[in-house]
Amino acid sequence: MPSLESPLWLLGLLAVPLVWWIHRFRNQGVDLPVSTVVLWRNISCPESRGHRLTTADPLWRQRAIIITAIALALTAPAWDSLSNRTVDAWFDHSLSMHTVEESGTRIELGIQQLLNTLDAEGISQATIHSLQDHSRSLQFKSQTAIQNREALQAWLSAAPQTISRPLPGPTLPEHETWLVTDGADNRLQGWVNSTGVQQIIQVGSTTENAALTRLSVRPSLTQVGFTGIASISNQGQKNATRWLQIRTQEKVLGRWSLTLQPGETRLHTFTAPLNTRLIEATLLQPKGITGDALASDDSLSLSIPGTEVALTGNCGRPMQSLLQALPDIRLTATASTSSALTIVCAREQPLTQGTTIWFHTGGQTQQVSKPPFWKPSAQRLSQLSLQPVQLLASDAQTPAVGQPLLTADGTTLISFQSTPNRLMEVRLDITAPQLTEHPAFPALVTGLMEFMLEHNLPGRIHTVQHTLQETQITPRPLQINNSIRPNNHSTVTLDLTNWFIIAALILLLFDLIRSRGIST
Amino acid sequence: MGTPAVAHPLRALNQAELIRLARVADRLLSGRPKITPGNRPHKLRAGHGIEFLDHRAFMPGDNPRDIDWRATARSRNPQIRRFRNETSSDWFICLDRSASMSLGNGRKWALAVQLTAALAYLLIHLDNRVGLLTFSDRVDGFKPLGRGHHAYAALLRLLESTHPRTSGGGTLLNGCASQLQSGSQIIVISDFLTADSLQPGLKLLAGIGEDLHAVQVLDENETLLPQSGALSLRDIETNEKISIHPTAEVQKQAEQQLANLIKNLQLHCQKHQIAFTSCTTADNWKSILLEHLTSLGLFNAKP
Repeated sequence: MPSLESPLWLLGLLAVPLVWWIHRFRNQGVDLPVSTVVLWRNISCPESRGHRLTTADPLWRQRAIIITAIALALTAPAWDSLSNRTVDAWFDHSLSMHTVEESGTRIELGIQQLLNTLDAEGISQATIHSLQDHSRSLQFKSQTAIQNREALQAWLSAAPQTISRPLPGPTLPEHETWLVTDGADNRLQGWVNSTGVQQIIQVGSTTENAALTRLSVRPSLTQVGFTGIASISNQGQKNATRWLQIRTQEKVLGRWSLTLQPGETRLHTFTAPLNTRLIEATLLQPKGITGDALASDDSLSLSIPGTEVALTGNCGRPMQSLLQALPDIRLTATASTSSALTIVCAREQPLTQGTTIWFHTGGQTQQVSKPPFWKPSAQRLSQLSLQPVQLLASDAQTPAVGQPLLTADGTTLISFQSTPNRLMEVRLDITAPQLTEHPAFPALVTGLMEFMLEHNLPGRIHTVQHTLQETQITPRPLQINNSIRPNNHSTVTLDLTNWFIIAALILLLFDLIRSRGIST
Repeated sequence: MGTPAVAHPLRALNQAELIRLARVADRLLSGRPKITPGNRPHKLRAGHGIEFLDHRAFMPGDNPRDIDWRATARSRNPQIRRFRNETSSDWFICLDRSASMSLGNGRKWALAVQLTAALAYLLIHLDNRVGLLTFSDRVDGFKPLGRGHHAYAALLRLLESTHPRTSGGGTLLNGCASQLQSGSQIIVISDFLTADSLQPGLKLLAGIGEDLHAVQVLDENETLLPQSGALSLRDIETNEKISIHPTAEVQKQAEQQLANLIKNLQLHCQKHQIAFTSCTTADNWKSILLEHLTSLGLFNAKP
């Protein structure tokens, strides 16, 4: 395939008629001295018109060829051999590529068009790269189209559903670069501009899509249970009517009909019981309305993780009730490997392996008269203010484990050790009503648990979402940046510049020899 | 400028023929033959003098004082007396050595040199003083006026050492005017092949000299072109070039153009009372001189 690097030099061919015109004025034939040219100056006959020749010197053709050869040499002509073309095809398998078109999903259409193009251009070697997961690639070798199709389908189906990953860097590829996409991602044009993409296979035309873009829950501040928000967005260009259904594993929490304007995003709130572990939100199609083009973004599933806490020993009714009231706590009676925290109420030091809060019970108690002091290592626990008259130390005579966190009147009330396991010893009498009925008791217990678990218990927000970019399926036209030419080693390029220069020089040499022969 | 390998054209001049031609010139110019051999002591031609020569018919422009009333009464037609010219004349020969004179295989230059030498011989033989100028676009050579064999020999030496230019230059007769003496007789030998046929120069010299003679020397093949394809005609003096395809039609038109040039030059000479003769290399120098002397006699017969 011929190619010209500087085709503007072809304008030099416009000088060819000038060469012909000039050669009508050239002295033609053998030089003959005469006494005066006055005798022939005004002679007019069909064969001769004085200065100007009716026919140009035949040498003009040779000079025109020289001009043409020089002009072509300046265009830097090359011959690109297509025999060993290798293609790097970047395949976009983002969420929008799962949009269902009339003849299939965009991924299926992209596979079909890619294979057809490869076959039409006689390319047998291609490497398919994932646009969303840059480390994944699939290499086509000399296989049949059916084998390539099956391999590509399997490769794409195994690709993880990634969420809005950054595009590959603008590195200059070594081979011819193609892109298979629907063009829905608005970052693609910038990527194409910065990368030597030479061919874009763009699929898809559907634009209508309503998506569930966000689902989040948090413990309710006003009632027992969760408060949730579902965000629904219409990315299409027409009104979209959908049913929003929210359910837990056990029951449907509600179903609402929504009509969204083009480009509108609406938030819908709901409540869920405290023991909810999974919330599913789904957009349903009303009867008589055609299906959503992209079903993948019509549902969101949110799991609410709980912290398993084992409660052993006789901790008393107040403690048990308090732990059951915490929304993120799943209380068990026995400690296991899945338990994030074990709360032990015993006189002897427990032999548990994991994180443990040991409430020292059963010993002698004594009233603490002086105000307790939190050690600096107590961190946020030091914000709790405890009245000394209400504190009862239990077995204050035995030495406490680890470093003290709370002391009063020379007595260690709470201590903590991090090795060999995280263990907190609490020498407060949790059976005393002065403590359990105190308003600060829940804050103290949850504060101790958060200290041991190293995260907050109440008020956590759980969210799952589709970004607006992922739910955007409207294809955008993409333009190839021709200014970037990849370092295409697979294409054999034969530079023809030297051949044209040599041809021009040979013709010039002949012309010079001929001119000298005439003059002599 | 190389010397031609052929013999110098002056070798072709035969002394005996020159002597015979001198006798003819005597008769043509002075009207009577020489009586005694040897050099002529006086000019024997009409002019200013006191010795009666002959009568001739009165022509408009003649001085009425020269009318011989007795002869007029006898012949019933006005007759004027003519007297022997007792003064010798000074002659300048202006020889064109421009590049155009070198063409024609040197025959044009040879004929011009022969004519110059022959004229000088005749004029010196008639006891005139003769000078020589060679010119192209300027005066290239000058031999002052001289009389006798020594002058003739010096003039021949100048002719032998003079060759036409090979290229370039031009033909400009005006440059000779500063070297010529007023009242002298002037002979211009050239091909007159320029755009203006040297007419301005001739007109200028006619005002300087008492008599002006113009001898045009052309090559017999001046307009003949080789019929071998396209030609680039180059003016050997101006280097102007014309590309041309020689055909019979072109040849014919060039000949016609040359004839027109000669005719115009002849008319110009008649207008300014210049004795004009045109010849080609096909002619012999003797016949050319005789023709010119004959025309000169006729011209002198005019008032």
